Order: sequence, then structure tokens, then C-alpha cells
Amino acid sequence: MLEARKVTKSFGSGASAVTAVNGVTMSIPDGEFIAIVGRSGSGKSTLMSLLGGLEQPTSGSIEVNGEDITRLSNNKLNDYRAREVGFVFQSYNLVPNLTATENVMLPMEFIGRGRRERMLRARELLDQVELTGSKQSRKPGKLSGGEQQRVAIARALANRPKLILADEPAGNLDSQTADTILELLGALAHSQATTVLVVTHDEAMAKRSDRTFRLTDGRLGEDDAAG
Amino acid sequence: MSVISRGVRNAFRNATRTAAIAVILGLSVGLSFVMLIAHESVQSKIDATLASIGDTVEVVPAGYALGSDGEKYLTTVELSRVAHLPDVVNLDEALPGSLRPENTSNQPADTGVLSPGGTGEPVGTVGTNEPTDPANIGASTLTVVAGHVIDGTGNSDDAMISTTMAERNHLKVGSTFSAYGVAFTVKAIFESDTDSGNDTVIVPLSTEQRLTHNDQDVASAVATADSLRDLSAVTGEIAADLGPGADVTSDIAQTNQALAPLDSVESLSLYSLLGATGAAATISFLVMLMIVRERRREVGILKAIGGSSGRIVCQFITEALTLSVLGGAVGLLAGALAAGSITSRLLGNGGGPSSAASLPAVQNPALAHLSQVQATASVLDILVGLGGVLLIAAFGSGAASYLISRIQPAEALRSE
Repeated sequence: MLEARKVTKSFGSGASAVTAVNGVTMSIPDGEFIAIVGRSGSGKSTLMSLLGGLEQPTSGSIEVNGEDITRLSNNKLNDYRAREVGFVFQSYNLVPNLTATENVMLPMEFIGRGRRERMLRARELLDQVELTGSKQSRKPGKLSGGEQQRVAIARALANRPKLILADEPAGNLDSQTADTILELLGALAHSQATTVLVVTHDEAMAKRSDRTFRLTDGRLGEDDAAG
Repeated sequence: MSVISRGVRNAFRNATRTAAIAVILGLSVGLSFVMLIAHESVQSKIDATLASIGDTVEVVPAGYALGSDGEKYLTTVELSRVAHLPDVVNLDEALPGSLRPENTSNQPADTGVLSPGGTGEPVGTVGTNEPTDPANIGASTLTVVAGHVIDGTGNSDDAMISTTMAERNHLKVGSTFSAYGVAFTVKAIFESDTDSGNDTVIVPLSTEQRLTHNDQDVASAVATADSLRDLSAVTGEIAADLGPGADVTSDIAQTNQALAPLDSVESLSLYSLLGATGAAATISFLVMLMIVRERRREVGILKAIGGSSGRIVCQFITEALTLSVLGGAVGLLAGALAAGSITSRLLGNGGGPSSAASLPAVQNPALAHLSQVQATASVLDILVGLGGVLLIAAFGSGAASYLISRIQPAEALRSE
């Protein structure tokens, strides 16, 4: 269960302060596929960063399974990101000089998994996202956008997180590849009871979700209709 | 892949960058290494030169010439003050004399007239409080081969004679011979490396003073300083204490004059070493700062997926150490090749108008080859050089990556 209460994030101070997220309160049970939609600059990505512990809110609390992550020490926050959360970014954010397999192995290294276990799990996940054969040994620069996003999804799944946060996961992909990626994330939420939260500006994509929240100028509202 | 192997591999992710960093670091490391070698070589030469001149100060009455019948003497009272100067660890006092033959006939088996050739000629003697000091008999070595060394501070009629003299006069340890109207007992037989040394009888200083009626007189003394570094000060202190009545000499003045150019080179190489090391440290730090900053986004990715700050710092330190080992290897190789030539240039060994660092002409043989400094890199030099490079790299990269690793992941991911 993920619960955000009156979460606010402002950048800058005084007259030039910008509030990206303004008093957001939301509750997401395990295993749901959630979409947060909004225009560019509405605060979607900032909200995702806050939920994933990538930055601290100016005020408010975010509880994950009863623990307030805004009060965690740096070490515990690292542990939270490594074990509980999987991130999928619009720009993939793969480490450029590591192969696809090595990129997927990385989060497992951070929680102390052995090399052989990491290797087997990484290959299994890459097979699962249909990146097979020699492509697993290629560096990101030698893969297409869709293939890189598959690697990013495999990396996000590596430590079997309870929460996957995807920021415009299909933003740089053609429509066919985008469909495939979204199907993959949806299936994941329903088959493994993993909460998937997708941030997007694409209304069509939002319709695939179980619930959709709309973010306007940092304020959150929930759509009546679910996809 | 572990954090270490990832760090090593990152060092080679861009061949051009790696080569450029290795060359830049190599140049600064090489310069540091050359200066380290030059400094150590010159220092070693200075130390060896100082060691070769000894740590002693010779004291004689003003105008006194060794071997003369000089009527000028120092006194044991004066020399007692010298012996108690704080930096003087030993004072060897001597009074030469001459035994006149007596009892030229009727020599018993073990009592006879002593002479160098066994023919009754006068024999040189020396009274000293340091009977084993070869300088007292004009030799550089003195080895006791039989009997026991006499007590130089005593007043007994004991003597030490050479093997040669013992054989020619049919004497052995325990034998007696007469001189000055007293019977001397041979307590020890020695060997020295000079004929004059072997022709000299050594007796206690007080005995010589008593028999030659030169009570309290001393013809020469040799003071030993507690260290070479204090030699100059000790020389001055003795001269000041004894005043114009004594000539106080050591090789330190001439040596200092001869060593002055080497001291300049040593200072120059030391400052250059510090400058080059500072440059190497700055280059290393800035290179790592640049590398870490350009990979700020990568740091954000690593933190976003759970990498700790410690792990990130460790990765960058490994990368920096790998680059530094490369740069260090290039620098050490270049430095080892250039050290001899540069050290020679600094000393003016190569000749030419600027050569000289011109070391002055000197008479002392110990100072004759001051300009011939052999620049060699010891294993310790190499280890010190490499250790310094790695330390600087570890510090530079550690500081740079620590600063970056403290930022929040979202902030790093927003950067381009």
C-alpha cells in the first residue's frame, strides 16, 4: 500500500519559488496499474520522483507499507530504492558502457546477490521482455529505443520490487512498440501483484490503466472512468 | 561485475580520453619523479661527502708544526674545557717525545735498549689518552695483536710497541726496557700501516708529561663532534674557547664552500619536486572532477536504482587509480629515462657555458668528484613516487565523487 498525504514540492524560494506538486494526497493498493496524466510541466515527473524516494518533498508524508520514506536515512532510502522500487524512465537511463545483461544485473549487485544468480536472473528477465540472443551482450548504444526500454523494464524488475514507477515509458517509442511495453507493464501488475504507476501525457495510454489520476498545476484529481 | 571491475573498465571506456589523461598525468608524474631522483642523488652525494671528511676537529698550539721541537703547548686544563663542550663526544690528546737509549750494553734476554732498528737509535714516543687512535702515530690503522691496551688516562710506566720493534729488540708482552731512567713494561704489541707508526712507542699521556717534564702540556688534540651537522658549530666553539693561542681546523669550511652549489641544486630540485607534485595533484583532482561531473547523470542512475554513495565513490576511486597507474607508469618510465640527463644538467656535468653550476676547484680528495653525481632510481624511490601518485588520485577522485554522490538522484537525473 502506497499512501501520499498532502505532499508538496517547491523549487527555489521567495517570489521565484515554483510549486511543482501541491498538496497531493493519494492511496494506491498493491497490484494496481495506475496512470497519472497531465500536461507537460504539470508536476508528473516530480511526483514520481517523490514517490520513488529520488528526492524529498518540501512537506507531507509518503508511506510505503506503513513506513514514511520521507523520514528514512540516506542508507535506508538507498535500500528502499534498491529493494522496493523499480524505475523505468522515458530516456531509459541505462549505464552506457555496460551491456544489457550487466545493466540488469546492477540493482541485484546493490543488494548483495551473487554473480551467478545475478547473471541467470538478468538473462531470464531479458528473455521475458523478449530481448534475446546476442542483443543481451550489446551496450545500450547498439540497441534500438524499444530494445533499450525493454532492458530498462527488465532492470526495474530485477529485485522483484513491490512498486514500479514508469515515467513516460513509451514516450520515445513508436506506437507498436509502445503498445508492447504497456502490455508488458499491465501484465506484470496483474500477474505478480506489483503496483505499477505510469506517468504519461498520453490519454490513450491512460485508458489501459485500472485507475487514472489527473495532475493539473501540481494538484491531483482522480478521473471517474477507469480503463 | 563488481564495483572494482566496473571502475577499472570505466577507465578504458574512451580510448582517446584514457590516452590523454595518461599522457598529462605521466608528464607531471615524470617531472616529479625526475626531481625526486635528482634531489635524492644530490642529497646522497652531500651525505657521502660529509661522511668522508670525518667528524673531527684538530687542535694545535698556534704556529705549532707537527714534529717540530715546538715550545708551544696546549694545557690539559684548557683542553678539559673543550672536552666538556656540549657537542664534543671525545677528545684525544697527544704529546710526542723521544726515548734516548740507555743501557747500551749487557742486554738481558727481555730487557734491552729500544731502537727502531735495534741499534740503539733514539725512538719516537707519543703520550696519549687514546692509545688505540692511529692518528697519534701518523697511521690510519692500529691493531693490537698481543697483550692488552694500556690505560691512556693512567700514569703507569706501561708501553705499547709495534710487532716490528718487538722483533728487532727481542721484546714481547711482559718484557721491560729502560728509558728516562725508568723501566717500561710492554703491555701490548700492535701493527700499524705506516713505518713511522711502527717506529713509535705509545705510552700514557700523563707518563709522557712526567718523564719529559712537560707537566700539563699537550702538543695536539683531536675533538670528535657528536654529528657531522654539528661539526661547523663545534669548530667555532673550540676556536672561541681557546682563543688565538690555538689553531683549530676541520675540513668543514672547505667542504661547505664546495658543497654550496650542490646545496643550491638540492634546494632547486626540492622546490621543483614540490611544485611538480602539486601540479600532479591539481591535475589529478581536476581530471577526476571533470570525469565525475560529466558523469553526473550516471551517478544519478546508480543512486536511483539503489547504489550507495560509498559504492559510487569506490567505483570512481578505482577508475582514478587505474588511470593513475597508467599515468604513473608512463611518468616513471619517462622520469627514469630522463633523470640522469636532467640531474647532469642541473649540476653542469654536461659542460658548456652554463655548466657550472661550476663547482669550485678543491684540494681535498674527498671533494674532488662532487660534480659527478650518479642519478639512480631506487626501488624505494619508485615506490614512493607511485605511492604518492596513487594517494593523490585516491584523494582527488574520492573528494570529487563524494561531492557528486551527495546530491539527490532526481537532481542528478535532471542534469544533462
